[in-house]
Amino acid sequence: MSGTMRAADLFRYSFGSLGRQKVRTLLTVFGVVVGTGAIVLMVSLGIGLQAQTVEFFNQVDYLTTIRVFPQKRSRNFMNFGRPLGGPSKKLDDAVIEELRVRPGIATVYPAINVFSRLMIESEVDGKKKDVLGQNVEFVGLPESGMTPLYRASLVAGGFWTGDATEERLAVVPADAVLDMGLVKRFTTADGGELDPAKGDPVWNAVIGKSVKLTFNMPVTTEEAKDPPKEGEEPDPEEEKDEEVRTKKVTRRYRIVGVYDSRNIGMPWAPAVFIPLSHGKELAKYRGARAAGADAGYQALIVKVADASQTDAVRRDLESMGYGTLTINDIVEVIGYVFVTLQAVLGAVASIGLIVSFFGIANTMVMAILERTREIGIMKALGARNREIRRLFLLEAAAIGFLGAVLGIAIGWAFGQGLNELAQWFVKQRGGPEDVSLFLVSPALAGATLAFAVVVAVIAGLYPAFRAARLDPVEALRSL
Amino acid sequence: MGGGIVTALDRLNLEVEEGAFFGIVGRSGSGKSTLLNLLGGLDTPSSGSVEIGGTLITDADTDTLARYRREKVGFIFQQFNLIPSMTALQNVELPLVFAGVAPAVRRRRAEELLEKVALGPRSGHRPTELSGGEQQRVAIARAMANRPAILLADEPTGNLDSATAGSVMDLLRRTNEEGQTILLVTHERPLADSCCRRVVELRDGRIVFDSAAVAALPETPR
Repeated sequence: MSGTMRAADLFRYSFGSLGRQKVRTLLTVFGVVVGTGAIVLMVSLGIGLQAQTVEFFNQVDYLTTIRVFPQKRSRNFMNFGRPLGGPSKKLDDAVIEELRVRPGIATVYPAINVFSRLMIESEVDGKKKDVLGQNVEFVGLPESGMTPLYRASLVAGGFWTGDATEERLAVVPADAVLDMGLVKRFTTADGGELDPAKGDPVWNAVIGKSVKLTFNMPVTTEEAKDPPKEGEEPDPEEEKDEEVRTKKVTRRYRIVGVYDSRNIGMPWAPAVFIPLSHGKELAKYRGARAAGADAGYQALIVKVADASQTDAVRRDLESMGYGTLTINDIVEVIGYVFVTLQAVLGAVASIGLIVSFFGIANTMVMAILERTREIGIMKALGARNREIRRLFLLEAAAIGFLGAVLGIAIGWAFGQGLNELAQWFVKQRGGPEDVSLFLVSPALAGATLAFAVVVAVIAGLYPAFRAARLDPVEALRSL
Repeated sequence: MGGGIVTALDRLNLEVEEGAFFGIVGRSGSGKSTLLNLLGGLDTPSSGSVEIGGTLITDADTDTLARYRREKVGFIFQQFNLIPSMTALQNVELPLVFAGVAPAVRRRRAEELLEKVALGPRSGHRPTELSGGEQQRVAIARAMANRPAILLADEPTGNLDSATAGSVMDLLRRTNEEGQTILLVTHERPLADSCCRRVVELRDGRIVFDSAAVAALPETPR
């Protein structure tokens, strides 16, 4: 007979008490529902965006790619990719040959990315005319770099075959594969813009058309003496400045393929793929004003045979003194950004729960006022102070628990609704089918539930302690 | 409340034997309720000691007092003090809940007790669905649930009409005849005289009459 109250009874009495003031309990629970629902909705947006982004990079093609730099590079969030100083290795063709035979490495080629102005030629009234161009990235691509992902992104035409050699450089114009977004710049016969859906035969219409690349090259005395190369048009508009003499360089390309950049990860940076040897030549021009031509490549791209080997190959390269960056580094940095985003969203949404804290505290204070006599009776019947305290703490926790369960469910359902809306919206614009902006992870649901219960228990602390300390004689005397 | 100390009970010595039906009478303010609270472990005296069934409860901490209330005493109040949200059966079970008794065991005990107070068929009713007399009988059943050493009844008939009061007093008397020690507090001297074997009257916190002492006096020579 001297035992303490059973846990099952504590729960039964606490939860049972909630039903006695149904409306008040419900209103208090709704406060928690709003708070937890807002947290779930907002944080799930952060998680969804992160998952969306990470999934985007989670393709074999990216996972098997390592960028190699002459110097170690920072992987920190604040200065990601910045050279860390220290000894610098030269990246040249000899290094490429050396690396190509290292275990696990499938291919190595220099990363050639040249930003330059792309001019589009269009026929207006039977006359060739340059239309508005834009600065784009020209990417030098060897045949070994034309991965299945790249090939799958083609919407018309195809890549050139074989790496362009010195001989092919003489072919005018050279081959190029353009992003869909750039191709839209071609005006159609009736003056309208091209904007057909993916897979539309209209894309084929641009195959064989030509585009021009132009840039102003600083001219040194030596270069000025160079005879114009093949494929370089004699330029009548050669700019001659008093201080910096520049020469306008023009290259002509023939479009052999069109691809969809949204499928290969850089929708924000439409690029033009050109044969690696052309890219090297361009880079030489563009790099002329930087270090000497013998400085080596700025970066190499290493393709690993299998994604599981990426880490091992990277360690190998790092031990050789090179700097490396992989997609995982980017994903990790993105992770920091999203964790911060989630924290901010969660903190904003938590305001709702903090408001409901006062609601719970108020409800519990009211409950104790109403049940003062009952507390006295329970004490007279032998309830310990700590049992009274637990009864009320559990009652508060139950409010938090019920509110959180409902809030999580409603937050999730709301997010699903918005996902549907987003999917419909994206589909309308020909985007990817599977979009989920809001993602409720088990960790989010669990953490929200725990958070709400903890907040509720803290809200119940003062009332529960007050109830436990009530003098039984006084309590029995109250109404 | 207004400041100043009220001495409710002063130099009071009282011994209640096991199995007694003990009556304490007195007007309001005489200190009888305070005495009951002391005996019930709801209150502690500023000095002196209270010992019931071998347990000294004077300087006990709240847990010990709670345990004492749970194991040694059963309260019967003027206001019945049933918990309105619970059925008669649940009310009777409540002391056993705090004692940690298994659900099946305490349920059987509560049903037995309700049978005993002739409320077996009404065990599922809530206090608001019961008459005053019935509520008090439930309260008596509840007070006996943990087989207390003493039942403390504070004006148990104060809120009842005379017919109902009679039946409640009959129930208490029968309970006492079965060996249950009962301490009855009332302001009605006749009520105490009718059923108690020993009656003590309090006034201003002191005993002014004790039936046992009167009986022990030699007869006054004429």
